[in-house]
Order: sequence, then C-alpha cells, then structure tokens
Amino acid sequence: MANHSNQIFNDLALEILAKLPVKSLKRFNCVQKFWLNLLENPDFKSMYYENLKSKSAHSSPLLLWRECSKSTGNVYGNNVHLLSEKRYENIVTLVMPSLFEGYDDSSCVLDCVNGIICHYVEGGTNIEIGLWNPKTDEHKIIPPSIIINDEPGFHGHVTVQGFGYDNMNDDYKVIHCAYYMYVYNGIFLEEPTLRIWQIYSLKDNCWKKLDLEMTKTTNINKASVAYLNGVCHWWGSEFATNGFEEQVLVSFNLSTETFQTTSIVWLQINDAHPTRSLVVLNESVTLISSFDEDSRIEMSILGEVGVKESWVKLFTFTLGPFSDLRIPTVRMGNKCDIIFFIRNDSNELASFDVITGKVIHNINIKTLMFSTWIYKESLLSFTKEIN
Amino acid sequence: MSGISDTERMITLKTVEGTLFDVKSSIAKDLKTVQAFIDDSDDDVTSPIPLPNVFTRELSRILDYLNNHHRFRSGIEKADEEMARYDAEFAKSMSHEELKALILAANYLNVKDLLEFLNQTVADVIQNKSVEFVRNFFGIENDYTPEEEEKLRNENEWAFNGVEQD
Repeated sequence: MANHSNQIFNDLALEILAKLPVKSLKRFNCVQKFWLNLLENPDFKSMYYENLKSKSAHSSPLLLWRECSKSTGNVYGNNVHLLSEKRYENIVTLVMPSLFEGYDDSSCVLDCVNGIICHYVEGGTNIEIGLWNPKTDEHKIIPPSIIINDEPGFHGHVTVQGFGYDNMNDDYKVIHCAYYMYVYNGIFLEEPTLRIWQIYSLKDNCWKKLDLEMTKTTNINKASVAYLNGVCHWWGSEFATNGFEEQVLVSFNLSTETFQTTSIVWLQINDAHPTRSLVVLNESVTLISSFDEDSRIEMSILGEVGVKESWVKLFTFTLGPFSDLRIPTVRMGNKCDIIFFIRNDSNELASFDVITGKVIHNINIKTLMFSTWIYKESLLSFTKEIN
Repeated sequence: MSGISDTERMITLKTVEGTLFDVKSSIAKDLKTVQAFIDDSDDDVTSPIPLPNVFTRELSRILDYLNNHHRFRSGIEKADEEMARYDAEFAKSMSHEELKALILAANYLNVKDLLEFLNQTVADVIQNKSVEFVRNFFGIENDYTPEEEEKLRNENEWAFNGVEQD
C-alpha cells in the first residue's frame, strides 16, 4: 500500500484498538512506542469508553434489588425492580415470591443469570434458597441440604455463595458454604475452623458435597459475587506465605467444579484499604475500589482469570462530595455507568459517569443497600424439569 | 422538476478508473462526503461526481452493503437475523488487503455504520494475533530497541498466552 494510505490507516488503527479486550491491548503495547499504555491517553480512553458503552446491554432492563428492613422500621416498599429506558425512568416493581409459606420474608437476591433470579433468606444454621423466573412467574424453593456435623462445641452458619449456569451441562447450580465455628465458654472463636462446601444442581435437584478446600470468604456483602460465562466469582482471603492474610478473587467453574484464585496484591497501593465491589463489565470480571481517603473510585478489569499481573486499571474518577465511601455497594448500570448514592447524606440512587464522576441521571429509588444486574428475559421452565 | 420526490433522484458517481455508478439519492445520503458535496453545490448536481480516492471494487462493495442494509431496514420481520448473516458473509468474502482498502474508502466517503462494522471486523481478526502480525497488517515499523521490546514482553508475559500462530 502507498505510504499515504498507510498513514491514514495508522490513524484509523486507534478506532480498531478501542474495540479490543485489555489483554490484546497489553500485548500490542509492543507493536510501536505510540501504542504503549494507550489506556492512559485520555483521548484513547474516551474512545475505549464509547465502545464499552455501545457494547453494553443498554437495551436490557436493569434489575435492582434493595434492602427492605421491616424490623428496623426502614420500610421503603417492595424491594425488586426493573429499570428501563434511557434515564432509568421506567421503574417496574416485581413481586418476588416468598420463601416461607404465608408471610413476606424480604429475601435478598444473590444473582440474576439468564433471567433467573436466585434469592435467599439466611438464618444461622438454616438458609432458604429459591429460584424465580419473573417472566414465567415460576418459582422453585430449593430443597435443604443435609449437613451432618456432630463435632461437639461447633456452631454452624450457612451462607449461599454463588449461582450460575453451567453451559457445558445445561444446568443451573447453586453453591453454598457451611461454616462451623468453635464455641468456647459461650464465645465464638474468630476463625471458622471448619468449612463444608456444597453444590446444588437443578437437573439432579439435590445437593452434593464438594471435596475442596476453598478459601474462606470475606464477610459476604451483596457486592462481592459475580457470575460470568459459566464461572462464579467471589471475594475470598488467603494466608500468604508471609503469614499475612490477603484478599483474593475466587473463581469457581460450574462445569468442572474446580476453582482458582487470583491475588489482587498487584492492585494494592501503599496502605490504602479500599472497599471493593465485584462486577461484570464487557464480558470481564471488574473490580470497583472505593477509596474513602480521597473520595476516589477506581475500576480495574481482570485481563485473565488466575493471573494477578493482569489487573488493568481502566477508569479513575472522584465522586464529590462524599465523606464516607466505605459503603460497599457500588454497582454497574446497563450503560457502562456506575449506580451509587447521589450524596453522602441521601439514600437516593443515581447513575454516574465513569469518566467525569458526575451524575448523569437521578434514579427515583431510595434504599440503604442495593445491588444490580442486567436482566434478560427467559422462558425457561424449571418446575417441569424435575419429577 | 416538480412532482419528483427526493428518493427517486439519481446521483452519478465516478471512480478512479472512470466507472460510473448511478445511486439513488436516499443511498447517497449515507455517503456523507458525497452528500456534503451535493449540499454545497448551488445548482442541482447533474454531472458525475468524481471520487479521486475511491476504486471501482470498493465503491461496488460499499453500495452493495448500503443497498442491502436499506432493504433489511425497510420493515421486514426477522430482518436482524438476515442482516447478521449478510454481514458475516460480507466480512468473510474479503481478504485482509481488501478489508483495509475498503476501510480507507469507507473512511473517505464517511459511511459511518459500514466503517464501524469494518473496524469491529478487523478487531475480531487481530484480537488473538501476534505483535508481528499486527505490525504487518497496519504497515507499522517497530521503533523499539530489542532490549526495550524484550523488557515489555517480560512485563506483560500473561498477555502473550494463547496467541494464534501467524
């Protein structure tokens, strides 16, 4: 090709690069000097962001769950909604079936995969888990798992950890963990010293013990789990060789029923202890870190699961004025935007721009805690599958 | 002339080789460079509009794409599937050189949707390719020293896993 065309093509190349996953971009750092660390170039970052936005599921509604705590008197009404339209102005309230016969139990939503919502109510040694398809209005209460533990002095606590679709086996699965903590003289000892992991298969309609020593999970908050392409991801912590506890991403493959961990040590800066939320952005696991010290939010994409060096910082912006960013629930909208509280003193939600940190749309919903997922309708009938 | 609506007007375009193409004005609207020329002309454009940077092969492809997409968009049910199939075939039918030539032509003529599609097609092609392949594809000279490049490769070792053979 003539030199002239080559030059024009070079300029057009950036438009093409802006469509690539971060792994490819990092590799192509080596092509020429101008392509080194392109994501740090504000113009390119803008192009990259525009692409993410156009690829986002902006035409699918956003499912929003909010905490509804009758016991504390903070009743904001029903707690599951579908938000649609350009400014999230169309809010449809869904009536989630209850997990306990006869009364409204204000369950929490764990995740929403392929239009199926997994919700639960925790209660110490008991947990009730249900699967619900709002489109067909089918609801299935998952049978309880049978955990036998006869060790004296141990007190159990069950928590649900992951829900997702096993694409290899066309099955939906739920993962939960039973912690057994040793009670001595009426006091719980800090470390749960026994962990039993179990997996439920919708196809088999039963639980199965997992013979794995998965890392302990950090305090489960609603923003620490994410499902993507047959893998459930959550926060865990491990004891490193130096004896210190460090946070890791645990990625559990639903078909092979094995897991791997990815350290986030490469993301740590000095002594900063940000609050972290796990989300999915453009088919990649993404970490949103909120730094209370300077009201800053950072979004980092994981280039390759299992590779700690592959965390790539994508967006950094400042929310203002916030004096407390330790609230963990920073979530994604459906337009490559962030959903968070509009102000420090307000319980009202808003959509924020990830380049400027400014509010784009107000969302007419108030809550104390919430979570969001992209919702794609499903016609899956799962009550017929089991006998 | 009165009574003739805009969509019936034909515009004539002339490629580098001198080939003439008659194009409906509704299609010409998608060639923003051409449309700008028409808008800027004081009189009705009757003589062929010369396109000094566009070859027959490329213009033919571009018009084919636009004609098909206009057809798909004109209200048939299930057009999305047909359009996706057409797009896939369209992309596959070209060699890398032809793809690059078409991008240049679409860029010159400012055909936004087609350019977007072509850029995505190239992104899909190069996503898992090697650094050498990409240099070759874009005609880029390596301006790193061997030491600099080696250092970069080591720092980003993980990004080189699973790269397709050239």
